Amino acid sequence: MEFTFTTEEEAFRQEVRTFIAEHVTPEVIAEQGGDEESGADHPHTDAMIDKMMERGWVRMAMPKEYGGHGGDLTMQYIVDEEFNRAGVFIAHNYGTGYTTIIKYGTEQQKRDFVPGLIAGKIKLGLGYTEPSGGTDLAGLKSRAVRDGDDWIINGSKMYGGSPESTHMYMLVRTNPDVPKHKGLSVFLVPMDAPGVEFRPLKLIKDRARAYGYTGAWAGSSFYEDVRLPQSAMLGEEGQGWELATQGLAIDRIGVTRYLRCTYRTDHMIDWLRDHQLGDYVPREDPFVRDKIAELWIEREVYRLMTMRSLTMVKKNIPIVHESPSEKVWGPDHNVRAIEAIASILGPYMQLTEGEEAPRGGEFGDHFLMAWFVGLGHGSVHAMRDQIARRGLGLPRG
Amino acid sequence: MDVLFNEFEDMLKQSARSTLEVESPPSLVREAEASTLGYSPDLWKKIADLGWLGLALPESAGGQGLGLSSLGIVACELGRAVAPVPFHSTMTAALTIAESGSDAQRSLILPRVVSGQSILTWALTEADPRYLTPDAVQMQAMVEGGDLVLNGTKLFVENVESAEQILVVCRTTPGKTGAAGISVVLVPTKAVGPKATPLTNIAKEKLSRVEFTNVRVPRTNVVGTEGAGWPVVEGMVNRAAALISIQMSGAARRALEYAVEYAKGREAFGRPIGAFQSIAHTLADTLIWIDGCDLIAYEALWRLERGLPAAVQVSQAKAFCSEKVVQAVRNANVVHGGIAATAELDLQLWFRRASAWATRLGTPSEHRARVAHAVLDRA
Ligand SMILES: Cc1cc2nc3c(=O)[nH]c(=O)nc-3n(C[C@H](O)[C@H](O)[C@H](O)COP(=O)(O)OP(=O)(O)OC[C@H]3O[C@@H](n4cnc5c(N)ncnc54)[C@H](O)[C@@H]3O)c2cc1C
Repeated sequence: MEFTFTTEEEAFRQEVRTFIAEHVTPEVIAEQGGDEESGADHPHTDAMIDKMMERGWVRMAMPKEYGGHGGDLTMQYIVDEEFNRAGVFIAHNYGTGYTTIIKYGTEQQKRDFVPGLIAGKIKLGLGYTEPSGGTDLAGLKSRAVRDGDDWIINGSKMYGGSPESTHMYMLVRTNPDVPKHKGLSVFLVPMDAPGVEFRPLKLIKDRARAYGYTGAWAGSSFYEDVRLPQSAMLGEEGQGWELATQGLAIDRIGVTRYLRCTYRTDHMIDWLRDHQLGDYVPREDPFVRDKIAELWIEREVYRLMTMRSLTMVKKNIPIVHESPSEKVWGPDHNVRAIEAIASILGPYMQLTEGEEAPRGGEFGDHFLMAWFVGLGHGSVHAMRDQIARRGLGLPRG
Repeated sequence: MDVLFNEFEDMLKQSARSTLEVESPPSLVREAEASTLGYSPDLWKKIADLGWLGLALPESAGGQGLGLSSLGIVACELGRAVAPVPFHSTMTAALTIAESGSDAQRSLILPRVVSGQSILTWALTEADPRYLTPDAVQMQAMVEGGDLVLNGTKLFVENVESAEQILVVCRTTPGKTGAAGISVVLVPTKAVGPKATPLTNIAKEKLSRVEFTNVRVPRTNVVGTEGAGWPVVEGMVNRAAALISIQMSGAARRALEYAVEYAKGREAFGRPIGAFQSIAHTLADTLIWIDGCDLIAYEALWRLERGLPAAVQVSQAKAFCSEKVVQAVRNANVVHGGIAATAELDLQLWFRRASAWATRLGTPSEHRARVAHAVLDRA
């Protein structure tokens, strides 16, 4: 056991914080809440990311030959943690894309995609869910059929991607005659290929936020006789389920999810320390104190779970129930947190902007989508099924 | 940062587990509960011979000088077996003597603890059950020349009938509130004979109300500085709370395993009950909680061991473990259905004992108050 970061790691964290203090300007923060529908520019963020790239801080644990820095996972964790905490989400396409392309991609695919992903020039949408459902992922209906050396794709995806996406990381059925999860494959589909159409989908929340888990938009995409060469397939034909489950397992853990499920608690505590509502000082209210401590403890447990999976990845220990466990605990904490915040702030919670709104209305906006964190990337129900089967060896229902 | 066990820690856990699987079956717990002593002297001797009692005690006393995280691993396994031994009360007092005692106190007491000859206990709580405030301590010890004369009543004292020494928290200066004047005093049970009355409890452990009437001990029996003993108490309570947290967590994990086994075999509506989602998900949540209990308790133990600030981490651990362990053992019962209400099923030993441990050393809200102060109040 070793429950703290090393002095070297802490020194590195200081370096990152110094950089953030200088470069994460209000302009950069403002861009985080930009208008995703039109794919607005974010020049300040881009300039800052260029500086980070010079230091090798973006995806630093990725191999050198593909634009990474061959660095240590803990160091990468520290960079991601500090930037996320400052409200800047730099790790576009976090988990799935990089990891599976490095692991399953051809040499050409690695060269074509990984440096671009790291630089943020390539943006992958995740094309898993379809109008007919997301939880039963292996039951998806989009098809790819061979035509000579090519594949012809037909179908539709729901929620994944944004107007900025350059490619869809698309899971499709390539063989309808085998058990459902054996007949799937992944394609990296260029969004500008003929036959691809993307339509934005407005969410119940009206704006993206620096600390938002989601923006105001998701997207639907439609594929009509889209012709792709074999080289657009990632991994082998029929290997799609393996890629998807590995990618999802990675997206379910780690710093990004951890911070996105704990911001609310942290921000509420920050706010409480310095604010009151008229003559009412919430932090002096015994109910508030008990509730806040309860949330704090839950988020500490989540931090330790995140440290556990980081340790396991670093030590190459297979992750069994730990990933779905985090994917239940974090999102459930997130929901308990926002609902506790609602009970603390009373009518102030519902505000999404304006001078009366605590933290500029962040809590109101967050309230609208907090519940959903438990559904994306594998619902809490599906995750509990996985824990029960893999972690406890219980029979299938 | 590495929150998993290293090779040594893994080995320690495995050897403690396999030893206790053989040496501490549920039948031994039942026997101990029915006995006057309330514990198994055989098992106590065995764990002393294995060196467990000296794991975290200094080498000068015959111990191994390892830290609280190692001791925590053993406590977790003892909890897993709900082993009927006076481990927790003995370690609580012994670690305090090791930390704050004089050389004479250490050399008198600790070697006897390491060898298993001496059981210890401690007495802090009175009618006011709060653990984290000196105001709950009312008991007086008047200075009379070279002696202290103790008068008052302590509650929830563990194993007092078998203990050789009690670490008693009292006030050595007049006054009823605040930390000033608090002292921690070693009282040999045989020599002074405080009067103990059993407190019947759900764990069927030996708990007593202990009355001190003009109990006289030399002032040299003060552990730490006379009148300035509150930091000693805090250290004692922090270690004890962290240890009981991991001990409960160990018990809860075993209860979960019982429930999982049962859910695989018991059928209803023509299939194993574990195939019903509501059962499976209940057990999945229980696993998440117990993993969380382990992580948060080991963090507290590790920080205490390293001498890092740990009071908040201890409170986090105790608040979380107290609530989650009670829910976990209750879930294990519910999955078993009616049979869990019968004395016949071994699971009841885990349910009763872990639930009782959860009540000790500070309520969740008391610990949360300490956490709230740390996170909400500006210095
Ligand atoms: C903002 C946003 C962003 C998204 N981003 C992406 C993305 O980038 N890529 C992508 O592919 N998808 C994305 N999604 C889709 C998301 O992953 C799905 O909504 C999610 O997987 C659930 O699928 P569903 O909506 O079809 O619900 P369903 O699968 O129909 O599930 C409905 C309910 O039934 C429950 N349920 C289903 N099966 C079981 C079972 N066996 N046992 C118990 N309960 C069950 C579910 O848990 C859920 O509560 C996004 C969605 C939103 C809203």
